[in-house]
Amino acid sequence: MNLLLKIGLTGLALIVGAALIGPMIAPFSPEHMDITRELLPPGEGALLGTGVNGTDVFSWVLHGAGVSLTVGLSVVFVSLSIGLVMGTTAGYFGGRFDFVLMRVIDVLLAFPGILLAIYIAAVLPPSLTNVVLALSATGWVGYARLVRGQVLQVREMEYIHACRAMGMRPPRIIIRHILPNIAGPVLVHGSFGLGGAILGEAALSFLGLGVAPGTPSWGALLDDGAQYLLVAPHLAIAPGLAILIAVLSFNFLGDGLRDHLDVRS
Amino acid sequence: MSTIGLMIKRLATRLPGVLGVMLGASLLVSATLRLVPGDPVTLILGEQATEADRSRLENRLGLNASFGEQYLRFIRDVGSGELESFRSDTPVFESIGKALPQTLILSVFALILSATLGLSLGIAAALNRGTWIDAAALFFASLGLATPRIWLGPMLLLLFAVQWDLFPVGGNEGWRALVLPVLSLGTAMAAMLARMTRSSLLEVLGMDYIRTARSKGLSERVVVGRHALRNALIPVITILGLQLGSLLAGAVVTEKIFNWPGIGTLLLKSIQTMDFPMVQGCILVIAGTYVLTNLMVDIVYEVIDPRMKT
Repeated sequence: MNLLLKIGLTGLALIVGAALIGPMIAPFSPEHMDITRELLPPGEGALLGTGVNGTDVFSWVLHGAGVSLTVGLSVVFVSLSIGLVMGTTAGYFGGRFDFVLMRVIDVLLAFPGILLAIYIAAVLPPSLTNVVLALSATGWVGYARLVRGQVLQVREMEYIHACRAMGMRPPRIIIRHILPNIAGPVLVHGSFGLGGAILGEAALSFLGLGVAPGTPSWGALLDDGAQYLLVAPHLAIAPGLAILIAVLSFNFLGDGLRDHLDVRS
Repeated sequence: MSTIGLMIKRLATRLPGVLGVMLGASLLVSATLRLVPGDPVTLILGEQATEADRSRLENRLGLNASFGEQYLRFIRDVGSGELESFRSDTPVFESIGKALPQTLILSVFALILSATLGLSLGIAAALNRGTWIDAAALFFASLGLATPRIWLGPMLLLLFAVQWDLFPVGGNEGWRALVLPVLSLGTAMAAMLARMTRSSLLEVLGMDYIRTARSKGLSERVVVGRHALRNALIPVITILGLQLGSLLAGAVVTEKIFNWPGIGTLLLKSIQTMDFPMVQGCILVIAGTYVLTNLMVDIVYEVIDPRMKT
């Protein structure tokens, strides 16, 4: 196992640990408020200080790991599922479906970055489900393009011709013989996607278009931090570091997986 | 064929596709608005609105018409530049016309910064492979790519505006106000370009013609400057051009942090006030700028690539 993969897996363990154990060891629930202790710096009674309405920043950051991980995994799951179905169908069968899919993808790629997600999140009420919906609405495109390209390569290989010659049905060829052979690059794309989705959720919540108010999101906490930068700079530091560690871990995981799966290295 | 002629020919072949994409994008933007739970009239006027007010707004928004009619009307208004805002008397494209140049200033300076920083770091790393310079450049690149813009902005403000009072906290008065937003917007791209330049240059430096150039006795300066960099930078510069659109989208976050009066700020303000035509206009203008920039980069790339002229 290479160093990048080890660092990535350690980071992943840290975030999963925070998401699972965090709510148990957090001093307060995310709903806890105490307006007599508003915007206090780190120290007495509050390890990382307190936020707007006296919420405990340490507790929010711990609970936030669960929110980020839920959004990250859900977005990857939804995008990957749609991308797999669309990409394999278009790549294997080609024809009119492939043509239409590529035109739809062209249209979706006209919106740079998370612009379309911002738009979808803006017309939907703020909630965790809608954040997942907004990020998946554009997220699946990358998987579909990747899967389609991989399927186009694999379907021309001799063993696939042999499967066809044996009279195997397309669904069986795709599931048993094509998908296992394209799993590597898809897995690598997925781990980068996890980091991207966490970043996307944080950005949407920062813009006020993400999770519902009161949900302990790192991005929402960072938004408070940016607003109270002059009086409570501590608010911006902890959630930002949490996002940085999470995204860096998943990027390392992706790089590590790519090297690990690359037979040449 | 002359270069200009070639460019016009390529533009003519690509234009129908681009128009198709923009029509598709406008259809998507119109259809998405139908996803709004409840009706937009209640959302805008509130539960207490009178029936007369409701029906007046419904008529003004054309909500009584079918989706097809609404879409055609939207396209007609966009085409004639007469798309009306829900909230202000200024037409949508007039407001966007004031805000867009501000965003373009931010994006172009961020592009210049990331190109200068990214290319220098990438070249330095590749030429000093395996040394501390390489390690430092790679460390910066990894950190720059993972650092969320929504965090980098406030941290820059905290250090350079609040602690050391070197730059203003927000606004767009003078060049000093430009420094922190540009740094915040351009860092991730500089990091990406540094990684790309490094790997591209390393790949080229390993090629046979570079070995030939060295064996001819050419100085390292000429080998790298005249032979390696020329080829290594072609893919990097293409990506650089294509990234201008991503900077436009990234500007939404940066403008919010630094209170910069660009299209991102306009978009967010319109979302808060539920001024949907303004939101649609902003989204379409950013998408259109992105698509057009990509088209221009593609065409210039095709025209300057000698293989395309044969």
